[in-house]
Amino acid sequence: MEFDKSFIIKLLRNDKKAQEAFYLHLAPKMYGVCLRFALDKDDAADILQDGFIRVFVHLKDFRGEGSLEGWVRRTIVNTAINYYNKKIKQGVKTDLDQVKDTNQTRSLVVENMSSRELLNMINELPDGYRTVFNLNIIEGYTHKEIGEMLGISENTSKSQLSRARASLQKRLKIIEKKENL
Amino acid sequence: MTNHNDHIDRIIREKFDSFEPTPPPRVWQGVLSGMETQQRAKANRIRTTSVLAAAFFLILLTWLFLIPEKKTIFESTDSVEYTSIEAPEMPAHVPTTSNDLIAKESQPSINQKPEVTPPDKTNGLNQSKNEIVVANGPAAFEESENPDPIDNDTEKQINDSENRVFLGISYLNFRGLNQVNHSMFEPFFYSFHQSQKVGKGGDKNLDLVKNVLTIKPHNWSSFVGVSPEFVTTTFDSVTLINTYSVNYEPIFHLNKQFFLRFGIGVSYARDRGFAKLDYISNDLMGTYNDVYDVTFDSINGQVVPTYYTKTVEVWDSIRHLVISEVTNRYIYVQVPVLVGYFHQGNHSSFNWYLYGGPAMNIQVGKFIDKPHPEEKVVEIVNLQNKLPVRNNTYFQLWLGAGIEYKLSNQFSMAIEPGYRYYIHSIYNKQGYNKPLSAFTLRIGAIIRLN
Repeated sequence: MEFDKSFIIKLLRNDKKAQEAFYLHLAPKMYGVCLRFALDKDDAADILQDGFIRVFVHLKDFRGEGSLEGWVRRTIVNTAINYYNKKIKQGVKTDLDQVKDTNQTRSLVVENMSSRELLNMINELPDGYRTVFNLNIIEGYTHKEIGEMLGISENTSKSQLSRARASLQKRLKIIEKKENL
Repeated sequence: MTNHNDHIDRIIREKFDSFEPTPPPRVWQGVLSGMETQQRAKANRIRTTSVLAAAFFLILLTWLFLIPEKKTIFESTDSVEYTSIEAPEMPAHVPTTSNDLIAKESQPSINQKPEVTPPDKTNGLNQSKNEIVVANGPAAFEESENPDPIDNDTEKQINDSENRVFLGISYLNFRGLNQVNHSMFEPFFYSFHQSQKVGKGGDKNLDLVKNVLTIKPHNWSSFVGVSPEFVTTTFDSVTLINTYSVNYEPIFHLNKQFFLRFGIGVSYARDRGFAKLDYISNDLMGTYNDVYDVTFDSINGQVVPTYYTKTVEVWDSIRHLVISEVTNRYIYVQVPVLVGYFHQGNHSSFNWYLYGGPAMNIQVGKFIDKPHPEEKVVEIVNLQNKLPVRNNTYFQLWLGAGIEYKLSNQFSMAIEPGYRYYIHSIYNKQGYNKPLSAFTLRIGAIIRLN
């Protein structure tokens, strides 16, 4: 679905039908984003709701640089980060630990997992690990950007990511063992 | 290792790219509700700002028009000062001295041309700050060596003159003659002219003050009144109950015929309609006697059972569908801007006038009725309030006529029948968006300020 100028003008004029169509088009994708950041489905739904309210209220700030979907996604991620900052900031600001990545390759296991299983696995990560993992690996933010978003140092962000990787690989190893049995 | 991580990362990204779960339906409802709250908050901010701006505008206008236009020119040098004030003419009198002046209104009906005595520049003028020669008109000036402001009720007869001049100034203070400090705190509504020479006991030390004070008269009055409003337009299933309002409207008379009228008012409006309420309550269906014990006794060789019972209540969840009457209440601030024509009766206490103009109504309070069944513990399944909610703002066109009965020069009673046309509907709901017509009967008082 393309969002042309006339459609955006309709959104800016609070056209309910346009807003609903816009929501129905983007909500599933954004709900997937929210599920990765949230602790559970209820939280994810709350983030999605707040995020879309933000989107509609601040749509006038969209300058047309880049895609509207990308802008919405960033807004949803920021909403999730705010949510994260409010609720689960504790425990994130830890110093960098030299976590050694294991050489165990689990790519096959990952490939065989469904999105839902992968999501569950990510959701089992501690809050700080999960957030940094989502922002860096999936959303593509740099550690510097993550540091600014979460109010942590760049090194802390890297540390959280390393821990997240280590934790995921540990879980993948367990799954791999179960599959081999 | 890094390559391997990148590989896994890519797989994860790809999997999540196509991951699009369906959000629960409550989210969209929440978004709509949140948007409405945001818009309401924004509308409230706009309303508050508008009301404040309107109030500020009114205050500003009132201030500008009520405070008389004044032009004060002081020509003061170290040697000569001359004061000239527009005032009823008074005969010349003997000079007196003063440092502080207070003039008060006494005889505004005097209508004589002033006799101006020019400053005597040849009279050896010196810097005598405490001397005033009143050369024309016996003004009620107070003489004082004290440069502090003097109470405004002071009056003094000067130089054996029987005439007094009282100016419509509640507080007028001249402090010193070389450094004239002029203060005036209340408006006055007529002009006067007066020339003064300032000297000391007629001696040679004479300072002159020139002070031209011009005050243009303004005809101001105010209407204060209450009015019921009867809406004649009808809607299906909605009853518009009479609206009551209280208004304060300053009236500025542009000339003898035409006036400008604006103001602020508060109106209280009510709408009555119906709501459909679907709910489940736990109702008592009835009772029965439950046998909890039986004993047998032998009476005359016969076995007679005795039943012991207790009353048991039977409750059940019953679904109800009721139509309930609801009344929504609103408070609006009214800001009318009206232009009118005034006709003054020649020999009668009755005057009449016509007026018309737009009026903005800004909602400042809303009380929406929420029907609730009589039962305390119920589960509401569905509530449909069929009574539409009014818009936050709407405009009216006011047309009216008034009859005024003068009780005194300052006070009149007025009755104003009028018609109001709602430029757009008060509701923003399909089927309810037709403009309204209403009639009013305003009753109040007109107070003249001059």
